[in-house]
Amino acid sequence: MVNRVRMICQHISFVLLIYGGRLGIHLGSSLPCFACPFVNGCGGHCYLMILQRSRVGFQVTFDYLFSRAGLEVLWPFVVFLLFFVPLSKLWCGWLCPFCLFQDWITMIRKKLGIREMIFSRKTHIRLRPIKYILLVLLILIPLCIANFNLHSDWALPFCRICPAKPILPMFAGNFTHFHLDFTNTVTLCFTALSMVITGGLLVGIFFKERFFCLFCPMLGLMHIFRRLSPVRFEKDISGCTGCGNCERICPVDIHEVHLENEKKDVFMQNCMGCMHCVESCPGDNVLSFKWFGFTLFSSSRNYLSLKRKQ
Amino acid sequence: MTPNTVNKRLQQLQHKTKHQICIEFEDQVELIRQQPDYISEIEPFLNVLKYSLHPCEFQQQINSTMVMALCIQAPLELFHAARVRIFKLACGSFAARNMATRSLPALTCPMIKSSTGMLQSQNNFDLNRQYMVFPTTCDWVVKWRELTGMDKRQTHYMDLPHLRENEQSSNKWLEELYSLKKWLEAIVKKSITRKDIFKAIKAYMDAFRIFSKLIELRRQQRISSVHFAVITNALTYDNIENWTACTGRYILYPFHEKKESIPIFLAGSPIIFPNVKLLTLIEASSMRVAADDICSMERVFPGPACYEDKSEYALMRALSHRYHRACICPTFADNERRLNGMVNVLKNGKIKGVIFHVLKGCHPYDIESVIMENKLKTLGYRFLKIETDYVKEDEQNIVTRLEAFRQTLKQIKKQS
Repeated sequence: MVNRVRMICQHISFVLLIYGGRLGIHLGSSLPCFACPFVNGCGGHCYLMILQRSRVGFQVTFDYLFSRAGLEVLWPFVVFLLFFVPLSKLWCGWLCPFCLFQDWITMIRKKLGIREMIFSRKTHIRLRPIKYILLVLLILIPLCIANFNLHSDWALPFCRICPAKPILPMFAGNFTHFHLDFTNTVTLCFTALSMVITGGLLVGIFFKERFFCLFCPMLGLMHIFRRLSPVRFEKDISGCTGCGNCERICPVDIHEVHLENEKKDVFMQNCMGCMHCVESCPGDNVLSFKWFGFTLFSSSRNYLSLKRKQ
Repeated sequence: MTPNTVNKRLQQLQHKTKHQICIEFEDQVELIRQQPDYISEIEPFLNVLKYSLHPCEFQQQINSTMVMALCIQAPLELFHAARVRIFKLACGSFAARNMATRSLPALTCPMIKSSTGMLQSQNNFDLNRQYMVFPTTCDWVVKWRELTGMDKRQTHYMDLPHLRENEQSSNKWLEELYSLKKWLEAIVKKSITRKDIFKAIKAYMDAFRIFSKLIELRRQQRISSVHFAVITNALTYDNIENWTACTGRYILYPFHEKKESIPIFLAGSPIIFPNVKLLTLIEASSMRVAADDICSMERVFPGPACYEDKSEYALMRALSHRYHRACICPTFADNERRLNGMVNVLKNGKIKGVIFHVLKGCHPYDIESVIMENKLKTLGYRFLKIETDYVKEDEQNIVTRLEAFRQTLKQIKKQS
């Protein structure tokens, strides 16, 4: 039931964010999800692009912050927070169009009966810093352009390697992002890297559910601000029998929810609020998603037995 | 004494024991039928359990290969997928226990003694020609094959890792499941496909759904704990589709809530039919088992096998976790979370007392009882440990202790 509602939300969001512009809808350029600005006629786009354009020099003064230029940097961030705060990382699991694309590929794999690639807990821990490294780079490189005369061909570094850039425009009939740009070495390197990453990720996504989410810098950015949001993912540690369903069912194999036996807060770094784990938990009210203390959805043995019937 | 005389005496003893087992079973069935809460919907389960004491007859009435298994760690779904019928080697007969007394150490677990005796009481039943699966849980199970002098060619050991939350242990147990699958394939001379496993998981999911409803009825104290034990005990001898259908019919009966009884939680060693002595005594003392975490009763289904996709690996992994991580056997080293499930049920069911059943000679549960007693008492729950055997002589003593326990719980209820 919850999964169906989630899929419906994802599809509506996909139509809105990919084709919204053609219907006169535009939600702005500070969305906390992978709605790509390179899609012609999109209905809004990802905050990461604006973030990469925030070329603030180190010599910035206090007055600058309230000048027009300063507001151009701050205002998108405020809008990003306004979008992010009410839903937190539920944006990823419920509204992100690129996540839906990954889910479609996973559906094909499941239909073919091909097994998923399972990473060990150690591998997951090793992969975790990558999203933060990407986040730091996508902020640092524009700063270097502004302060250290780095060539402007380095602009929008993440967008140029982001796999959503060639993939999502395809749904609007635009295949032109699958190319190599021979203008200069930098552009050639970026486009070549983009093709390699996209190809690698497509293979990765086929064998590993939500593979890209393991590296997504947006997820990392949202995790930093998760405390500002009223959305909470909690575990009643006194009720958990340790069956391990949550870890096995999780698209990104989060093991901490299963192992946690001290803290109530289990909104982990890679968690995107898809609620698969809550659906598969056999303990009554052991796992629950809350919004301002109000329970959005919590686990129950009855729900699980009925879900399995479906 | 000539070999002929020995053989003749052995045959006489076998005949006598078998006869006594039958009488013991019939007496227990008759007792159930005489109870005011008897309903005819329990009959199919009693019929199934009749064969649980006679593996020879069980083998004759099924149309497929029989595989015997000790403990619930061997995944039932895999046997179903291989189209073999499982016969759980767990016997609760006092008469059968007597048959094995001479060949086993004095302080052997009564269940092991009884199961051995049951097999020894079978005429023309060559133990060495039976397929057996041994998950290495407690020491008795591990050493059982050697104790009975069985040939190891027909047996399959599943090396159970005694750490539940360790990733390496989970992987190891998954390997054991694949090894069991291969062994079963060799027996039936047919490969077990992904579809077979999926169908089997689905069949057990349906059973789990009905079982959840049965548990609901039990929490509301609408059904007798003896009936519950009969139904859950029958699971490992019956065809799963038939068991689900019979349980589905059973839960449709309009049961009434028994408000006057005090709810209690039962934990500890398995209760195997026809030895439902403790359950009968608890009910006779105006208490009712509203929940338990006994592996032959409520924990026979530790939960459904949730799979991430329908590939063979995902299905096997789901089964592996269901029978390892979700299992609360006291032989596990990192078993702290066993208490969590229990406390959750105690809280939700407003149950104030726990009765811990220990079979004399069942060491893992004996050790566990001390740990549980300390933890539960700290949390404010009343705890009663009952150490018993399959004998009937200690019934009066148990009744007295149960009566005192009921009074304590009654006082707590009044105070609250």
